[in-house]
Amino acid sequence: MIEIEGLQKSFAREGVATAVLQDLSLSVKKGEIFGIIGRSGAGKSTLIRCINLLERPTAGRVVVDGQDITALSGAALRDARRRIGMIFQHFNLLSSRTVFDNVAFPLELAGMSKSQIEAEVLPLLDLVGLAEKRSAYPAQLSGGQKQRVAIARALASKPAVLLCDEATSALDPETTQSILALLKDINQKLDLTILLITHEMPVIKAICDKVAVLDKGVVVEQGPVFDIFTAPKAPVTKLMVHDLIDRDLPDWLAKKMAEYEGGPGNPILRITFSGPHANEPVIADLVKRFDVSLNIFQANVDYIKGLPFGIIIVEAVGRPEAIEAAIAYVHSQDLKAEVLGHVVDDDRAVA
Amino acid sequence: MSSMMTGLLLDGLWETLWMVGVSSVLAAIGGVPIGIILVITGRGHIWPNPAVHRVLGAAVNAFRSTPFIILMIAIIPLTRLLVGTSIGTTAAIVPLTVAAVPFVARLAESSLREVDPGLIEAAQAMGASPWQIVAKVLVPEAWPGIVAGITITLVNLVGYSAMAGAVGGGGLGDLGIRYGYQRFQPEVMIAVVIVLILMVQAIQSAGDRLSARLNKRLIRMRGESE
Ligand SMILES: Nc1ncnc2c1ncn2[C@@H]1O[C@H](COP(=O)(O)OP(=O)(O)OP(=O)(O)O)[C@@H](O)[C@H]1O
Ligand SMILES: [Mg+2]
Repeated sequence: MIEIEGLQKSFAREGVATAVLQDLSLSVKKGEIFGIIGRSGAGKSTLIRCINLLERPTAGRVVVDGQDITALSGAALRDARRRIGMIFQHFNLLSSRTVFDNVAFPLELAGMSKSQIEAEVLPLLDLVGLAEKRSAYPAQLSGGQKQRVAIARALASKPAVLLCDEATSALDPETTQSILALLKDINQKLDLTILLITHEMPVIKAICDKVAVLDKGVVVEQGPVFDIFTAPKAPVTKLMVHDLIDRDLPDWLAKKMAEYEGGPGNPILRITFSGPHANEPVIADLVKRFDVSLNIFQANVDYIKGLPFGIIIVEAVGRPEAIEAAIAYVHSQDLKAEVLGHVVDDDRAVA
Repeated sequence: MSSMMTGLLLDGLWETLWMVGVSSVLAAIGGVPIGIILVITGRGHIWPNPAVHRVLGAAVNAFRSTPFIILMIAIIPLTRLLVGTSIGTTAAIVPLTVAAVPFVARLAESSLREVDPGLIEAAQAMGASPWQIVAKVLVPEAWPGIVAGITITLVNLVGYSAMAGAVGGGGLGDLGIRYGYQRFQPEVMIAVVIVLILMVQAIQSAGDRLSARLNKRLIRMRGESE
């Protein structure tokens, strides 16, 4: 639905061209919610603005719904833009128009008659849950309501894709969730392709099917959200998902592990749960089947698009062969167990 | 005050209103489009054109920096051409309009420039043409500011019209000078000044109220949230 090939964009600053996007390629399939995440200044806004040519790329091609946007200009470009909806961080509603007239705006631009406009706008206001606000002005709305109006407005011209530039960054977490739920809802109801950019990982985790990580104008990795976030490869991604998968060990534990480096002692295991077995009572099984007891030091379960992803850090106490067998069992369940180090109980170390 | 005096005052008031009214309508018709062109031909705007921008800007500045009294005399040939005479209330409308057009243009320009670039960008993203952006985004969004600018222009024109009156333009200024200064009737001068003050007050508060009513950004939130 959106094909970006070899996209480059540089800005001239004091006569020197600075590359903001470097040879970037992406492909977004129909009906997908595709997220682009990156730190501030990574080039996210520039990238999304290159898709509807608010910013003209220095090189490369952008094809939306089979049409090469980069080849267009003038009236042909304006027509193509009607098929690409866009919403913004600061909503960008016309303050002089009511909710109804804001949603009607793109239809007016297209030269639709009053009665046609009315027939198009009212269902959209219903869809975003603002039917009773039709005569209100933007200044009378909350941030979340404003973004709903902006979404209805973006949908009015029946776009093939919706571009979202930090659409929830000006909203509180609760409102963010409701807007994300709305986006998910219209994605499913209308089979609308959504490309969103954000610097907030929770946004990606909540609704995206795929994610691309943008760093200094380069896509450093892309793929299904679950895969990228549970097994990040690029350093930027690792940093981003640090809280999710790579929590720092408690200080005292790290210190103890350093003391007993290389063993002997009780192994510290990091067990990672993901995929279909994540919900099974593995811990209880280990205790029962292998006579290994586990001290839990840290546990965290997160959900990415509804799939659980958990990490537990435990000290395994038991005979070495039993622990060995227990680790093998964990692996046989398609889960992951890594030995991070060893510790010795203080009292036993003395004895 | 004698009834003759009241009659003179009413005549003067009517002449002033006529001069100020007509010239401000003409100034708005001429000045707002110039303000629009000044904005949209600017760098990075929807219709960048450095040549037009610079020439128009220089012309506006030239007219604005010429003192009104000099402008009035300098354009006497133009006034004669248009009205047939350079004396009288209707003749005064020409220099008043010429002075007010660039003034309105600059005030309109600054209101139009304050329109959030995000709105222009959103309209572009929806496929709006430059003309549609002007008509449906820039002007409606800047309208309360433009109305406030026209109010200021009206007030200024009241002052200028008194000056025009001094050189044969009629109106309250003329009355004040003829009776108050030349015939030593200070009470006429005082009456004229009071009428002018009331007029300016009325214009300003009506303009403020209208601008505020048009400004939908000032509508209060009704204490509802999501
Ligand atoms: N019109 C412009 N002219 C010059 N430089 C620009 C322009 N637009 C963006 N840049 C530069 O391009 C880089 C990327 O900007 P961009 O706005 O795309 O980043 P971003 O990832 O959206 O960041 P943020 O999360 O802060 O919005 C920045 O260094 C910025 O200064
Ligand atoms: Mg940005």
